[in-house]
Amino acid sequence: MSELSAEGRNKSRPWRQLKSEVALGVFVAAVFVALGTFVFSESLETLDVKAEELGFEGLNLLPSPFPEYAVPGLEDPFVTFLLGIASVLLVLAVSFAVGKLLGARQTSRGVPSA
Amino acid sequence: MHIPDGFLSLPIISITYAVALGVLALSFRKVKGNVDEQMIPLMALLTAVFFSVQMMNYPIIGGTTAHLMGAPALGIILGPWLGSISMTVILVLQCFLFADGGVTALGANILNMAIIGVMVPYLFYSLVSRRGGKGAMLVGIFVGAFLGDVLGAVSAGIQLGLSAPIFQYGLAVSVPAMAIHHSVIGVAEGFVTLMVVYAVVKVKPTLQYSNKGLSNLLLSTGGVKNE
Repeated sequence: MSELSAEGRNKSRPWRQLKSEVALGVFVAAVFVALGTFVFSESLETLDVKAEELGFEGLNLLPSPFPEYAVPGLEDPFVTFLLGIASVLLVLAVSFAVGKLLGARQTSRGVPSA
Repeated sequence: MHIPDGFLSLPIISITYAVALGVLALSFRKVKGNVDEQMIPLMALLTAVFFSVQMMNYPIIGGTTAHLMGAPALGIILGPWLGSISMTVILVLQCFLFADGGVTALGANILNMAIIGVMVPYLFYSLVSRRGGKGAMLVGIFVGAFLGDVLGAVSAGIQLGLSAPIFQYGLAVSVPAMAIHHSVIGVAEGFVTLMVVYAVVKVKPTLQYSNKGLSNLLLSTGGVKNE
């Protein structure tokens, strides 16, 4: 009985660690989104400035749902922050799915993924 | 560095798409069925974190702003093939959801940031770190990240300069403008890449089994290298 529970604990350890790593990563990303929304939000990139000097602006041939990382018609920075968090979770899910599609092999040398 | 629609000529769009798709196809072929299982959640997390990092715009020179690219850290930690796929995920979502970079320029943006921005730092880091020692590792990461950022920008400058008269500045203006500004960004990218790579290896020492190039850095962070 105790061996079984010990085995269960060993199996759940990588999952627990993975969950804590994901939580840490999402927290770090949320901090960057908050800084990007509330502090470092103004974007004046070199390319845009040079183009503006010539009197033309970049186009967007395809309509995008959230131009300039904002919800159209909602200027509230808190809404932009929430959109940023949702976007981070979307990127996390898409890149995880892409990684799974690429197909994992067992960790080399039999080292458990920690 | 995200090039929008309307800046590039049709030949440049065609060439950059062809090169980007070719290298990405090679990346998928290299990693297909060959990704270490511990790399998948790490790749997803790093992709999400560097997506969020790109949302921060800090002031640089001439009243302009810049954001970190993250590509060098992705390349050094995940390797050139998986790193380029990770950066491409960011660029594709930025293009289609947030209009950050045009769909006609997506090939160029992938070439500049997901291929040059990822692979140049990895190559430089790999070459320099072969000398061994903590100093070589740190120089390899810092200078590699700097070069990745600057050469990605130079590539963008060349694409824009060769797109004249659509983008009316020629090479003589577009290349130095991009290179000078991104030299400043490159220094910041170098420091951040150093910190990120060091932190990731410290937190996840088993990474050395997936990315052999990082095993020397693991030694320098106090870990144990298993031969």
